[in-house]
Amino acid sequence: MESISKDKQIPPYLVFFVIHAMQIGVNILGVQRIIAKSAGYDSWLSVILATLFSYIILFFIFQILKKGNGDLTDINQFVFGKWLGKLISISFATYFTATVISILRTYIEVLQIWLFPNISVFIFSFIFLVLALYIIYGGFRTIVGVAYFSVVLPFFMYLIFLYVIPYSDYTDLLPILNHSIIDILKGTTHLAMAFSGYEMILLFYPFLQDPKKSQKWAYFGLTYTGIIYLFIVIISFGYYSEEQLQHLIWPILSIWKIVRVSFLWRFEYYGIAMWSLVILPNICLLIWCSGRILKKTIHIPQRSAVVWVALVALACTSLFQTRVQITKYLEILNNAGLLFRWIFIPLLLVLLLIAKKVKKNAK
Amino acid sequence: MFSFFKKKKSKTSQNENEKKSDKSLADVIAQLKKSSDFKQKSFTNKETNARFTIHFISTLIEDKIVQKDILPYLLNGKFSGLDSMKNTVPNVECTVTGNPETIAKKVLTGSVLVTMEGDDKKGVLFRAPVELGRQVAPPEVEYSVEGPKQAFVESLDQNINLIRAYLPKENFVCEELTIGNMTKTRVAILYIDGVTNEENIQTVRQRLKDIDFDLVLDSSIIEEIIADNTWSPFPELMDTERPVKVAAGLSEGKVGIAVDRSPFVLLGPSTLSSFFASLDDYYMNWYLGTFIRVVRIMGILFSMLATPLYVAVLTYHPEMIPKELMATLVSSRESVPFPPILEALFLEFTIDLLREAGARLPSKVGQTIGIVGGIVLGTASVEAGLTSNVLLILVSLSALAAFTTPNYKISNTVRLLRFPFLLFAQLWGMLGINICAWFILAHLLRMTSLGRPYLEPLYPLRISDMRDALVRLPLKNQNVRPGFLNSGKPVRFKDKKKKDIDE
Repeated sequence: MESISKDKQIPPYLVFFVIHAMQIGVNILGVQRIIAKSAGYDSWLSVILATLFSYIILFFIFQILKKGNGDLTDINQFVFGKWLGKLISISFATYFTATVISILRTYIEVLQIWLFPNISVFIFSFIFLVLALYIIYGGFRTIVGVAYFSVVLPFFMYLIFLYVIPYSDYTDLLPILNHSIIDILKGTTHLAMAFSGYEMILLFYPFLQDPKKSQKWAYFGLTYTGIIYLFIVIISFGYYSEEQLQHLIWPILSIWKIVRVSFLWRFEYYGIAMWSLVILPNICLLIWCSGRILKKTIHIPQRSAVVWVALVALACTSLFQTRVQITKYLEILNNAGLLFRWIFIPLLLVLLLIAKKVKKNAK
Repeated sequence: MFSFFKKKKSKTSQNENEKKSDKSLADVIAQLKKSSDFKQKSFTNKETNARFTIHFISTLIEDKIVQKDILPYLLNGKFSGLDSMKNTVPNVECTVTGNPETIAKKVLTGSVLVTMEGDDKKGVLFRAPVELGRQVAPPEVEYSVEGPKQAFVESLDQNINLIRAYLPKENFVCEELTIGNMTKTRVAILYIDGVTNEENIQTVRQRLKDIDFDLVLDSSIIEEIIADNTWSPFPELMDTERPVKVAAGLSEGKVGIAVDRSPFVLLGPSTLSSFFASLDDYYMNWYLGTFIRVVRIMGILFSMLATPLYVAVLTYHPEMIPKELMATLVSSRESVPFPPILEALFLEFTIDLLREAGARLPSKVGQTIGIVGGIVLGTASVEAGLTSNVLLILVSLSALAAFTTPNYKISNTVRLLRFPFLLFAQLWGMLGINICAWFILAHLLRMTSLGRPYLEPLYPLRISDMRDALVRLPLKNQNVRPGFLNSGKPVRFKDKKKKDIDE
């Protein structure tokens, strides 16, 4: 395991911002519709459940990192052997790259529907990826800086939601547990993508100055995400009816739309533009992670690896043409994410423990 | 490619050094003789009848010193050789040396060379430089309403004198170096021993020593050469013409770089927020100071974003403007034949022209230009239907707001950054402005000043340094030196505990 010099590492409190920034992305604009379909007015329970599940997985992740030596690639090689381990690591790089594509394409779709129907997918992706590469070239600390600002600067956008409270009716949320547990759990699985992001700690763990203290901040970050999602879901269900929500693709944007102040109307224009900062750290860190996996498995410099990843993302975002394709893609990716977090990580922990025992005995 | 050039350069400079050391004293004198202001005169000492010659460059020498403090002693005093000559002249700093290089250097910086007949290897050098230059005057660039009104001048010694007046401490250190193959500029590193972080001093020292450049005409040139990122439009080291600011910076734990023949002293490491702090903030009540600082920061944001927002909204999102306001906007743009971007570029360009013309012209004419430009051109262009009233207001307000920056360099940055914002606004409206802002944010995140983060205390977040960044807290709360300077003595003065009621 290579050691990372101290000036490249981040202090514990910043882990809060990274974890939270990675979880909040373009999903938050439209996630209510998907969970509303299965869990309806009980969606907020799904959110709480999803947060709890994330806690468990994050706990597993920290156990893996504590027991194993180094990051995901090292652990994979330790558990699965050199070649299979590398293969598995590279499949994660693919998953991360695929997530980059999904985030970028979804955001461009928002832009196409709300701001510029004619915006060129290629040119926007190009400029945005250049921006991301510029940040990535600044190193991990710069990415974390962007993550930090992406939490701090758009914060006031959440306060804007308070504007709709006079127009909302929260009695709709009663009675509680109107849906079956299965439906609520289904809603939780649909939230998988929305809550994803914290698993990247598997790769940037060596960049934490004080891993022990960082754990606390990681859990705080997760909690904050849970609170934000809960807030968004409750606001949305208070303002819209269940049925209405099922027909709105971007409920958040529609909420912003009604905000009017004396000098500014149509707040969603500003909101959408601001959201580019929210997705920016996601894209940067995902590309960085893919690049790091490639660096550690097939030994190409990260500097060129991230460019290749960005080029693949650039090529793929332009391939999607219709809404149906994007939805299908997101669904596949959501399932892959579920597989990764809820099945692979516990499995990895178990295998790691076994492998450690076996190797110890062999010695 | 760069390393290739560097190699070549170092080779040639080595050759020059070798050549220099071959030169003898006679060669140096022969070279100097080519100038008409190089004077030589021979005299005989009355006591010992020793013959000696004085050589000097008349334009660099103070005649009075030669006539009153050197020659009488040399003519009437008792000495047998060069070494004893040193003791006969009491009031003048002198050195005896046989090194032709030192002799040339000293003669060229205002020393009189005395050689004795029969000894053509060695000479005595008496310092008698003429002091030409301006007197200490009020600041011209960094003006402030209150506080001391002294500004630096072109002489290094005088500048250090001004700083030392504020810091009569034995641990105030002034290290001198000579930089520039051609200009041989004296550069001084200033710091307070024990307070300033050793690493920062070492960084500055190393970077200054590594400079291989011919013309060091001003501190700005040093700033550019030793900057962490030369491509950045943002200034990395604070340059100031006010001794107070340097004294304050040094006592906080910053490193100062004073350059001879430059009325600006550099301070580093600096942060972005320090460029928006004016001395005036400290001479007022703390909340007044904070208020003015916040106004300034808002002004700068406004200055960068006002016209781009106008372009973005009018080009892409007219729906964002409420109906009533839209009517005003539309009626003012009614007769304008250009799209908003051309209109905005035209006006911004005009304002920049006015600024540049105003800066180049003598102050009295400059004022006239400002009035002519501001009032006549503005009204005329609106009446001619070339621009809209609203934009004219926005552009002049943003030009005004850009002037609120206490530092000239950062105000130029603000001036320049408006243009990428404008272009991005034309490309993607609000989204474009945001993307451009993220580019700048990313750039600022990557930037360092002497290896320290530039955006501190915003990122990395350091709450304790916030007391003097965007806001200015009362002086009694400023009892700790800024954390990012990593000072050896973090505490400035003891914090008085608040007494409870009736204690």
